[in-house]
Amino acid sequence: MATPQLALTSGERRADPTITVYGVIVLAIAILMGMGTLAGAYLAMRAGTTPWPPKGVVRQQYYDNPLLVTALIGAVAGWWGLYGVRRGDRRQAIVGLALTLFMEGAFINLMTYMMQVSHLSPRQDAYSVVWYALVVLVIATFATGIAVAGVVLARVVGGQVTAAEPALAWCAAWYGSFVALVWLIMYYLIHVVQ
Amino acid sequence: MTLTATRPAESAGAPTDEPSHGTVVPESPFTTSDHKRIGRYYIVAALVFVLVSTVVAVVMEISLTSTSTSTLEYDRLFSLHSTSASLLFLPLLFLGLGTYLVPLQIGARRLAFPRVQALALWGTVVGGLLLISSYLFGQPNGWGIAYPTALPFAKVGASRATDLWVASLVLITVSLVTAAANLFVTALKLRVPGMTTMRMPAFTWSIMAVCVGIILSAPVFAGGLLLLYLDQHFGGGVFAPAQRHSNYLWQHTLWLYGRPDVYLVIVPALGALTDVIATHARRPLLQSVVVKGLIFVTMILCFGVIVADSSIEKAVLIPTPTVLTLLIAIPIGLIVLLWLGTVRPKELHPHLSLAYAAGFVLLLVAAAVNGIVAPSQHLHGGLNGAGSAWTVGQVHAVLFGAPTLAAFAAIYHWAPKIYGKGLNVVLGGLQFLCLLGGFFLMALGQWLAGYDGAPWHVANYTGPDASTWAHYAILSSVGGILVVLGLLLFAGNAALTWAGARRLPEADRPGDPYEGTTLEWATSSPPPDDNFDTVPEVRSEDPLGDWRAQQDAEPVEGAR
Repeated sequence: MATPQLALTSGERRADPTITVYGVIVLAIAILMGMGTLAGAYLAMRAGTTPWPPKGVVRQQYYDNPLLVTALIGAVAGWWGLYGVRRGDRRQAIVGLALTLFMEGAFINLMTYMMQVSHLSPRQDAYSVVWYALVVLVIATFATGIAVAGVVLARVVGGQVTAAEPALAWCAAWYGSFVALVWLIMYYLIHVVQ
Repeated sequence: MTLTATRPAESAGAPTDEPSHGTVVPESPFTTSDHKRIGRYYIVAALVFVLVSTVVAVVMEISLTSTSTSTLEYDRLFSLHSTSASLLFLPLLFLGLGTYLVPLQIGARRLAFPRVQALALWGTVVGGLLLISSYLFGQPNGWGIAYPTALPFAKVGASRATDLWVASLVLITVSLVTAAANLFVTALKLRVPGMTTMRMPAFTWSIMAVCVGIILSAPVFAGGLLLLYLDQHFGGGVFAPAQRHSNYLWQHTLWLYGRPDVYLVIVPALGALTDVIATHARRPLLQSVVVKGLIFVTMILCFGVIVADSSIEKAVLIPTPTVLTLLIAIPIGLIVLLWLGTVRPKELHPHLSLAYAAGFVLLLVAAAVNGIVAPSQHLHGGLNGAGSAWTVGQVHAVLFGAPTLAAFAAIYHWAPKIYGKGLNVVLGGLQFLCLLGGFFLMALGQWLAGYDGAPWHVANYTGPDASTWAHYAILSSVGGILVVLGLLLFAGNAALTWAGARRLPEADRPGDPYEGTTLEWATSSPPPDDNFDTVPEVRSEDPLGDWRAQQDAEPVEGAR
């Protein structure tokens, strides 16, 4: 059946593998804006509350440090996965990405445990509300990290991410580092800023 | 001269560098990867939501004429109206137009992430339905997103309605960000060779600009909503009046998007009208680079309105907060002047969309005149500051009426591309009269009430002037009813056109009815699944003009 079509000269078009990279960058920017909002709320509340931290608040420094280590291992593993992809070493790529996925899952597990043992409740005071909001956002960010790493891992297993087309592996590596950065922001706010 | 040729059967195998997304998951309204279908769904959803919102507004205005409306009932209606109108109408309408048109205008076959856009669409629809249904879940905890102080913290956790309302806003906001991110990446990465950012059509440029605004500000709103949800549900007291800086927090989280959001819709309206006017003027747009720059400046200035009402709260210590709001008028005024400079009456192609464009300018001028008159009334004690009914009129003329007319200008302009034939002109003309008259009366009632000293956002008018104010409320109600009538006329017109176009033979569906300059006119109407068979190469802002010049020089075999 005859269908009208464009009759312009045809320019050369190549498939652009970096589209997903740009999508993930925009996602990261949006998350960073949300994180910045809550960080700002935390700092504003700190400026208006005396004493600081409020009475009854005990910071769980013990769990925060393992969380930091877990997030950093996940980030490094993402780069390991990329290293494997770029070298054409599929086995190393799979192990690296699987480790990223596992560590990000472990992070969420430890984070939810920390929520339980922190004895903070959003019913308690304003500090706890902001703390819970930060925790919820960090968990959501790590959940998206798991999704990104999972998709890239599946593509590596399926042979769609290779040394010739490593763009998605770059995505997983950068995003793995980004989720660790989000946790670092919260870590810095709660433990370093006094 | 026409720009279309017959597609040979074997051309189905033409450049397939962009993978088809219809092979793995079966196509359905929920999983479709066709940006044109998703765009149409967005437009339908926007129209359904605005009908609900406008009916609620008419009920609110009518309730002002009685003395029996409770404050709580009014607050519930106000929350429903303000949030559904500001988040579920114009943002969705322009997202729908953007989803339909951006890939076509940049010569792409698809969106960057087609199924993500479908997910965002249905997330918004579900969020909108939850928002409306929250009204049915009893009494809310608060008054809306305007002020935190009305939250009755003694009742925390008691209101499912507020939980649902906040959760629905989160879902809508996340969906809007997702859709905006998708359109932004599409415009950034899927342009045809040769189409630089400055060669993009003005509408695509404006969509890209507004997406930047949404990506940067909506997550802040989402963060604020997360705080609000935890706070009002559990009662920690972040936004409680007793908490120091609670107003700062409120304004810098919930307002950073909540306020500019209603101004940001002007940005795609400007882009769409620029394309409409340039096409029907049949002349290159005057200073197109400047127009694009001004569109981007408008987007940036939208964020200045965060301080528009801050003088009341004394939260943001800027001495002249209204100046930041008024600044937006400068780029918009300059763009209107450049439109006028582009048009030559003798060369103008008369089209209904131009009437809508004129209506857009008229409403802005009416609002600007009011803006000039208002301070003198204020000096004479007639106007009740920013808490006046006058402000409501101004908001509805500038931020609802004008962009709505611009959106319909765009729909009438691109209807031949979307439907395969133009919308009915008589019905379109009636709709134009209903909308322009409706918006004007709606605003006029509020302006007059404001000049008489009527306050805004009250359940009932009280005092010696109450009966006069009630008459003005009736005037606004008549305006609201006219707007509803105009929207229903459009729904009927669109349905009739859709049905009629399907019966038309392909030869009677012109691909380029206006001799347009942008790439969407270079394909059939409606476009095929993959939009373009061959990928055009762009060498200027007017690729189709280049093509026509080339055709005149050396006719291509097969072109009709």
